Amino acid sequence: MVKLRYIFVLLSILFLFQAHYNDIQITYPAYFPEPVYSFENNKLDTSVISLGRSLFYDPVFSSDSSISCANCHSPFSAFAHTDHALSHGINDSIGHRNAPGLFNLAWQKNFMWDGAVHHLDMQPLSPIHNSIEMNETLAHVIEKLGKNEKYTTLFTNYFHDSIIKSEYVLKSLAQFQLTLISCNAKYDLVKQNKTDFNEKEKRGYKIFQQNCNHCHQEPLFTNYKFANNGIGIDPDLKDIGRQKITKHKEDSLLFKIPSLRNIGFTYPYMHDGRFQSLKEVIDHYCDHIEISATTDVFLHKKINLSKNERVELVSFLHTLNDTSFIFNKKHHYPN
Amino acid sequence: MFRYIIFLVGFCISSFSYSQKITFRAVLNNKPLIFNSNTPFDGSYINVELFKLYVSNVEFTYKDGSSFKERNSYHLIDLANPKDCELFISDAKKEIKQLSFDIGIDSATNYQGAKSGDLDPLKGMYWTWQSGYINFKIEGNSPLCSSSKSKFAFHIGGFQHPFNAIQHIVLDKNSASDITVEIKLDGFFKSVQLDQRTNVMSPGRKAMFIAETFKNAFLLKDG
Ligand code: HEC
Ligand code: HEC
Repeated sequence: MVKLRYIFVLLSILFLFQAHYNDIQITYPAYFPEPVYSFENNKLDTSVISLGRSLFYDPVFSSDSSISCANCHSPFSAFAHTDHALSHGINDSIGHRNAPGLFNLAWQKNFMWDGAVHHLDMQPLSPIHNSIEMNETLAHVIEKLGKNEKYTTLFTNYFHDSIIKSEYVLKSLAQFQLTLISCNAKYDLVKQNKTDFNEKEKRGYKIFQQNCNHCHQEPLFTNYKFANNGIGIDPDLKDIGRQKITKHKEDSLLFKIPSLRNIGFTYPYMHDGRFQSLKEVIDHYCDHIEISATTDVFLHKKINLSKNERVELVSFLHTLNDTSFIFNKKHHYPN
Repeated sequence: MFRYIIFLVGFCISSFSYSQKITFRAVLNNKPLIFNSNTPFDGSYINVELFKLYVSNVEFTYKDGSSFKERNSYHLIDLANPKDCELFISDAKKEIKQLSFDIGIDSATNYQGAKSGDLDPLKGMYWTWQSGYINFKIEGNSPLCSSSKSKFAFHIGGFQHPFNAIQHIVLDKNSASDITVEIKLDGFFKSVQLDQRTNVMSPGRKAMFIAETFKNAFLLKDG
């Protein structure tokens, strides 16, 4: 009998320990669709999120400990690589694509410009193993983390395991990135009836709905599909986009339709960073669409916008900039 | 502590149940494959240096018509390592009529994110530049190869339509002996034609051809 009580007490203590798991949920506006990330396999936990945040800013992921994820994904440019057409990696070598901004990733099914990655957890395998990005192996990263007392304690505490497994590292990084939710731009405040567009933005919004929303669909400003928006192939990079992954001719020159949220912070634009400004982008859509076998039919019809209308469209696009996201300290370098 | 209790309970249950052994064996030139050695083949030779595969969703159909499906059924098998080639499946002790399993990792699992154990991406059976499990890998060299250094390497996988390379294998069992699954590589290499194909490293039409060819190499050694 005494023994039984002893076991009971022990069990209760155990449950108390287990209860430290504080499942939290991401919050987003009612007009957002349901996220697609498989949260059931990676339940959000504040401690794991903060662990993921430490990892995101830690150069341990590169072979010479010089480059962290944040080197190419800076919080101040909505986690894109501003000013660099093609992202710079280890030894200042130049990659072959522009680093996209990172936000609202819980809604995204395909990652990378060609959709090479289909799950956020698995994405870090790509830059870590890329010889011009971080030139490292995850196995070695884990070995390095295992020698770092700060990390071994954190991992043991959260995952109740004496060794660090790749699953824990990948899930932690994913958790931090899943919390990068951008939904406080002026556009959102208007949606929530907290403010109004000015006249210029209003007219720009109309133009947007007529010409751009087909692909950059509200409220996330992408329909998460792939398309050829007629920018033509760069003769040096010869990047065929989605076709590399699917091996279908019909997918030649198709790229992920990027969200236009935070677009003011993520220049230069397109997968190879070829356009410096939104004006150049809009001039492209109006005047320079290259029609090839796979150019989206929606763009076959010429978009005719006057100089004024182009300026109005740019004004609207700037209402998608979310400064509260950029300045959210919870996303910054952990101290 | 809680874990220990679960473990103890689990241990007690498991010690009562029975487990069926399945042995996998690679065969070339009618002999068990010896790694890193030149095995005569088609007037020349083949040297296999690496051969790994995923066996998943193991299922038995019994003589009485009932069936058993292993839960969380994912096994990475390194054919070069005899210990790795033995699976112990805890099922009901009944006479097995049919054995079935998949070669590779199903698409649903591929969509579930990071995993540990045999599904740990560090096991070398996960692509890094493109996400997805590699269903099977076979590497080596042979003078038959058209490639430089006479090397061949097949990393076969892909889980997205229409290049879903997973293969379902069904084998009938006749006698009551242990289960040994042989992978006969002679026919495989004949169809692959090393003088024409030496490298397939990504999902697509070529990978589908290799995967379908590979499927025919499986055979249940009876008696
Ligand atoms: C050397 C620069 C560089 C480093 C370092 C880097 N990235 Fe990236 N990242 C990129 C580029 C470039 C792309 C687009 C690649 C492509 O499309 O092929 C990208 C794409 C991504 C994406 C996909 C976004 C989308 O919308 O498709 C995610 C997520 C991401 N990176 C997270 C990370 C994480 C986590 C790390 C650290 C482990 C990291 N990155 C390190 C440059 C980098
Ligand atoms: C047919 C679908 C489609 C339509 C319509 C479309 N876009 Fe795009 N847009 C894309 C694709 C695909 C990309 C990425 C192309 C690439 O990088 O190769 C893109 C990229 C962009 C980018 C760069 C984003 C970044 O992060 O680099 C901007 C800005 C942009 N589009 C604005 C617009 C505007 C403004 C309109 C309306 C005038 C518009 N788009 C209409 C498909 C479309």
